[in-house]
Amino acid sequence: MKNLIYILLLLCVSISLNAQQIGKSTYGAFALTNAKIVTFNNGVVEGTLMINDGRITSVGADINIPSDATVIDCEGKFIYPGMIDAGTTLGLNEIGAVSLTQDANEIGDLTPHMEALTAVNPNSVLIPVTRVNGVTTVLTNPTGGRFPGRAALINLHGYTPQQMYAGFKGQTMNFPSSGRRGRWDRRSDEDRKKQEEKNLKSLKTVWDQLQLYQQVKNNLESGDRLNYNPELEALLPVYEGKEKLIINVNKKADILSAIKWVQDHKVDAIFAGVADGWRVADELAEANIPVITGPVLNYPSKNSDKYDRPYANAGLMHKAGVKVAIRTNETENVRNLPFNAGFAAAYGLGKEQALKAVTIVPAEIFGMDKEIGSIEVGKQANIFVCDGDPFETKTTITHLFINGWNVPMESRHTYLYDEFLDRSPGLKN
Amino acid sequence: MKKYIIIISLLIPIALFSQQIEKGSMLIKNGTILTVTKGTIDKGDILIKDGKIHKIGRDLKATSDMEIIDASGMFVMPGIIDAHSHLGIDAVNEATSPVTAEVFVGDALNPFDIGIYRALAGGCTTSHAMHGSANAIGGQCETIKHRWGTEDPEVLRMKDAPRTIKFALGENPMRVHGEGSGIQPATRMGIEQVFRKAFSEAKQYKAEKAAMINGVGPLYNERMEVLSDILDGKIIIHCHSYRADEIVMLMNVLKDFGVNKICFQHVNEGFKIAPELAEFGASASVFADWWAYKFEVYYSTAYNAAILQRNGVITSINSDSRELIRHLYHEAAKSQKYGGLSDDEALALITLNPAKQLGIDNRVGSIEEGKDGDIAIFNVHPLSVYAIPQYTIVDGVVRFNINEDPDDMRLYVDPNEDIQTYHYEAGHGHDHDHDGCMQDVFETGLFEEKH
Amino acid sequence: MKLSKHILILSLLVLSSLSMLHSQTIEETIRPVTNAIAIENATIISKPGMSTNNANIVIKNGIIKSVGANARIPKNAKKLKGDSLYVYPGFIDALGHIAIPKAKEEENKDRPKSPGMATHKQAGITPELKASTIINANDKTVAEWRKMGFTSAHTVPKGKMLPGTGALILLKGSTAEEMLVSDASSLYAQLQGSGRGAAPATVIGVIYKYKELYRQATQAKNHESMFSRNSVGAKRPVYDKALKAFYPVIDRKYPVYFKANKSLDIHRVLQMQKELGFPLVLTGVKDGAAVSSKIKSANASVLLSTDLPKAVEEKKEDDKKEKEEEISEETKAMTARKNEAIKNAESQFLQFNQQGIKTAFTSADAKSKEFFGNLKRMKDAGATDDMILAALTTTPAELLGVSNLMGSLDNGKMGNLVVLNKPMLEKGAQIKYVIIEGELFEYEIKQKKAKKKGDGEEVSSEALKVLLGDWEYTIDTPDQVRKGGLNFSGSPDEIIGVISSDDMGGDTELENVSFSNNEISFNFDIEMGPNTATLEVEATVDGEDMTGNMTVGEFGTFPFSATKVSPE
Repeated sequence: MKNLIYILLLLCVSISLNAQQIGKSTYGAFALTNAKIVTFNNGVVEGTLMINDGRITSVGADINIPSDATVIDCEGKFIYPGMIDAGTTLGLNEIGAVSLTQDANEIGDLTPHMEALTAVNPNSVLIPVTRVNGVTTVLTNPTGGRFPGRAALINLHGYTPQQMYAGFKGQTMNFPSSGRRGRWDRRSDEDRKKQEEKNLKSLKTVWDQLQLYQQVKNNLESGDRLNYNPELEALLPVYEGKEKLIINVNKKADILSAIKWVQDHKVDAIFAGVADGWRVADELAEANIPVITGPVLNYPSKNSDKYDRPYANAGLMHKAGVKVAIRTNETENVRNLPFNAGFAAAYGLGKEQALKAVTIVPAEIFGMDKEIGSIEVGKQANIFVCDGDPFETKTTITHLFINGWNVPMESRHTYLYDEFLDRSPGLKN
Repeated sequence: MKKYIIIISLLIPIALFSQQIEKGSMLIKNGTILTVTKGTIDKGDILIKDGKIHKIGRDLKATSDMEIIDASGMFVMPGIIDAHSHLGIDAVNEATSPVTAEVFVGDALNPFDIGIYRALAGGCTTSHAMHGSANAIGGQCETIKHRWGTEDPEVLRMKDAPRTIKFALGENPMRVHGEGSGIQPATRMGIEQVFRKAFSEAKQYKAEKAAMINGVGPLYNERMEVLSDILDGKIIIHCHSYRADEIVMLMNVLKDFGVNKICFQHVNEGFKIAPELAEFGASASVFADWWAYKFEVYYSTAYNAAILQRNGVITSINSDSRELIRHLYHEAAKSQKYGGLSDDEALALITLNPAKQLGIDNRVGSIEEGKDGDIAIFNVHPLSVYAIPQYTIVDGVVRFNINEDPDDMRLYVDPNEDIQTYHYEAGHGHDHDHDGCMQDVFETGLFEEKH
Repeated sequence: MKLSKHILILSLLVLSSLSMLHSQTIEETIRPVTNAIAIENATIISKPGMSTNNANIVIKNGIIKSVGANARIPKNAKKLKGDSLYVYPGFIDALGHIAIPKAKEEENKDRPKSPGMATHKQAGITPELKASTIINANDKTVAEWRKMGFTSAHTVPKGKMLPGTGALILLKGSTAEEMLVSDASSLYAQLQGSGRGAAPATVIGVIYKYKELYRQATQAKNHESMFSRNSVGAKRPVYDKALKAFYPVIDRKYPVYFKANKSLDIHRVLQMQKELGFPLVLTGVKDGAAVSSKIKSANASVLLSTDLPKAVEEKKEDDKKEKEEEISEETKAMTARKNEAIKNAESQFLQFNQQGIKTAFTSADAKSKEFFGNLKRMKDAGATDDMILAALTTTPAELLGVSNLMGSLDNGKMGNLVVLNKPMLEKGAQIKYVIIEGELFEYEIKQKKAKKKGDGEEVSSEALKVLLGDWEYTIDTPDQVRKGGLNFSGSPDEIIGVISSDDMGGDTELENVSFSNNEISFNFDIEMGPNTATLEVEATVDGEDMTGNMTVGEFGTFPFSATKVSPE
């Protein structure tokens, strides 16, 4: 009986591929049997993983499979927790060079009231392309300016932003930098320094205003007026230490000054980017600020740097005791998250820690480790089934579950492959 | 007096030799050799003599002066070749006219570009330093070998590699000339006419030259000279292209002018017209997975390389990026995820196939006796995500050795530069507009890279 | 510095008395009394390696009449006491932009419709432009470099790819005609494109264009001579002034002076020379020692820039101990490599000489104030006095084909000489006289106070630090507040100052910078049309503030203040 359902299921999938119809996700009870289940608290468990109503309901060798469950035989396969990319613009941006498809960057330096979740396009073509590589959840963040807006953690499945929302939001900030922005940046050292000082000054102004705003707000008496000030209102939770602030900072000098700023202002901070992290790993560890680093597949920022610094950065920080998650900082190629993790693993982070850096560590950093980030009973069923090492390019992912939904392994890229591998008509009609 | 003559005669050959290309001899022992053309040899040796692969086999003997690399447990593959790069040149785009066949990036080679060393650290030994894609007919390109350590630009050149030239279709030339300068081409229709006009003028120039009157021909014109050489089949075209329709257009134009040596670059929609490409004999050099960074690459698939390969098109995977060129072995491996290519097929995407596209497959691209001693050695199989290059060898000379790799590998230090200078935006993932091809165009007009 | 856009009270100057500036001073009114001038009893270094003590030199009608211990001094000669003085041949600037005015701004506005349709002029291809036609005898560079002992100069137009043809001038005279020795001495070329506005924009555009022009010129020249032999039924040669400018080079009448700062530029130029075979002098070389064997085999000569990177900072012992801990290994390694690069720049003059490459100096892109200091650094790096003297005299004379006219103190040559109180690269050496074709320019020898420990007069390098670095100045003039930048660098021996302002786009060197007890004073000249006005500043430095006054001749004194923007 189970086998029959399995065959029927396979048939359905192949029919839908041939017909070029977009497969629909299915929901309910699933039993993933005969699998090697990779958990963090119990090692690799051989047996069955049960999903019911969006949650992981059991993991183990001897599991009673209810009759209504869809059984998927995972003989010879592995089950991993869905990967989390802790920094992307997925869902906000669509086509890089077409500005009207770009929703990540609002005008203005101070736009903390912009909500990423508002502009997430659930039907972005990029989303299926991403999730079929095992990335089930991403932080999508606004970009540009000093305070670009509020980032949101989303699951890569759903038809409204609210369906996709994965429970975490955090303010973002680009820390003032004196660094050259790239080889096209021709500003003199002096100009850049001046700009940096100006930026730090304006940051102080924002915090002074927040102090005033809080004071007025907390002491309002009837008839008093608190002016409409959405920017300050949006930053107030950060000021009060109630909301996390994700600070993009990369250069050594900037990281050091960001650490000091965070400590002086008692901000609940997460650092992102942190390209020079290896230069100041001890200071970062001592400050106890978690880091979302990446992309790993990146070019060294100084000509005098050793070639492998971007690859080795995550490992070097981890060794010094920093809590490190990995991000791609990408849009259309967030799907390369496993390869970023793979390179970090090879260049010093190690396979196990690299896997954690794209699963449980970001979940912990976002305070969502009760819900996602590992295979544990009771957590959201964000998992994927594959036939080998999840970071290896040769590995094939066969099944994908997001929030308990069995998501078809399809995307624009697979449709085009199916249509054009053996094109019809070919050369001649 | 006699003494002086001896000293001088000793000095002269050294002086001459110093400008020559360094060629080494060595024995690589006991590695898993991925020849690409002749399968895999377990525990094999490679003997390189004077820069050339002399012998491949087992238990080969080194002479006493030879360096020996023990490759036990390691994987030995041909040096990686990138058919699309902008490393090692100080100017990429002469974006001043829709046709600039006259310029040649080989005139501005820069052996100090640290990107060359970093490419070596990714196993890459040869790259195609290309003009950018601002113009429908761009400049001539140069095939370079990554002989890091030389300060002489002439030594970078891969001597006797066929001449190549950059063409470009679609958004980039439309943007630069149509939008930027308000002249044709502003459309894909206009781009076709740029080619037809340039080739027709070159035909006329050739005819005038042939019919010199009283020894006086047309005034020497470098652009027409180069275009004539394209018509005569002396130059391989490498054409930046994305959309299927524009690729078909160029093949039609070339057919009309009797030109057939062409490799389409990027060619994101090549998969849609793979049969036509194969029939024309055009090759394709693609990204592993870049897409959606502009409208003309929105309808892309990472399965492009596999579809092209399966339809009989000679296909390579390129970088067009100083970052991607550092791990082309990984980019090639993606063709196994997207389309299931075999190990040999995947490796050919970054070795033999680009060599064919550059017309240098008689010298590089596989491990065969008689070919150049260009080798990359990895700790594990190079198609694994955990692969780390250990040695990279060019002409039998070790140019990268992971065990002798100090932090600061710069050849040139600017005495006026602040030591804290960051050259690239720290933490920024890509060439800034995702398009290395457009360097120089939207920056300052004048390209003066500080080395 | 152009007054029109810069600092001061344009209105005041214009409305008050321009005539004041026009009027001749008493010194200017008196004509020379005699046509002969003589220096008695001096040490005469008549050419590199040839020095005579207690000798005389006599110049008559601008020509050296006699030199030596027994040279007879005519009765009508103006006699200069040479006791303890050192007489050298006048220095020759082998290439520079002395007396060449800045390019006019309007040229930048003349843009082609599209970059590919640029005219030669828009593209910076004006090889037909003769420096002799644009010389401004009153340009401040003439006096600046004369003050450093330069008596003649090979001067070329400024510009992009092919700015024009050079001229040989004397650094005296009130009109271009009076200055000119020869109006065609070179073709000047650079690897500089015109930017995106006009083709060629980039270095690859320039190289192709240069090669194409050269080949076209060769072709056109052959066509012309063929046509002149037999014009019946033949196609008429096209008239192209740019191509014609190459003819003397093709005929090897003079070389191309190609600007090549760095080693890669040199490689590129040598590659062109290899293909086309033109006579070549590489100019503006700053970093070329690594290419010297290639230069040698190409039989090219080198003009080294007298601009050097900032010298290696020598730290005091106690400083070192204190900071040792804080400096990272990375910074140490980077600093060591940078210092090595600086040392290389200092020693390359020696290396070119050792290779037997003809080496002289170019003033282009260099500050005249740093001239002697940088020569001393080259000497400290191993160059001999004779090598340096040759590079300033005999070698440029030879390169410019005027060895019969200048470069040494021999009878019959032009009376160009420079007289110092000490051998020229010795500490404390100063110029007392410069004589150009018999005309005398006299300079004041400043008495340096003896250095004594604890002596408040002489500023220590430590005390000087307050001054060194970038400042932003403000001047309150009646019509408006003027702002701009000041930079001070150098050592207690020689403080170098530069003033600049945003709306002017250029720098002017400060004169007579003196600093002691936190009192700073300096002056500088501004040009206004044909006239020059001198502005004097006196101020007190207190931490990061500088306050004082600026005096503009008789026009008044205005409050001057500055704040430090960044230390050196």
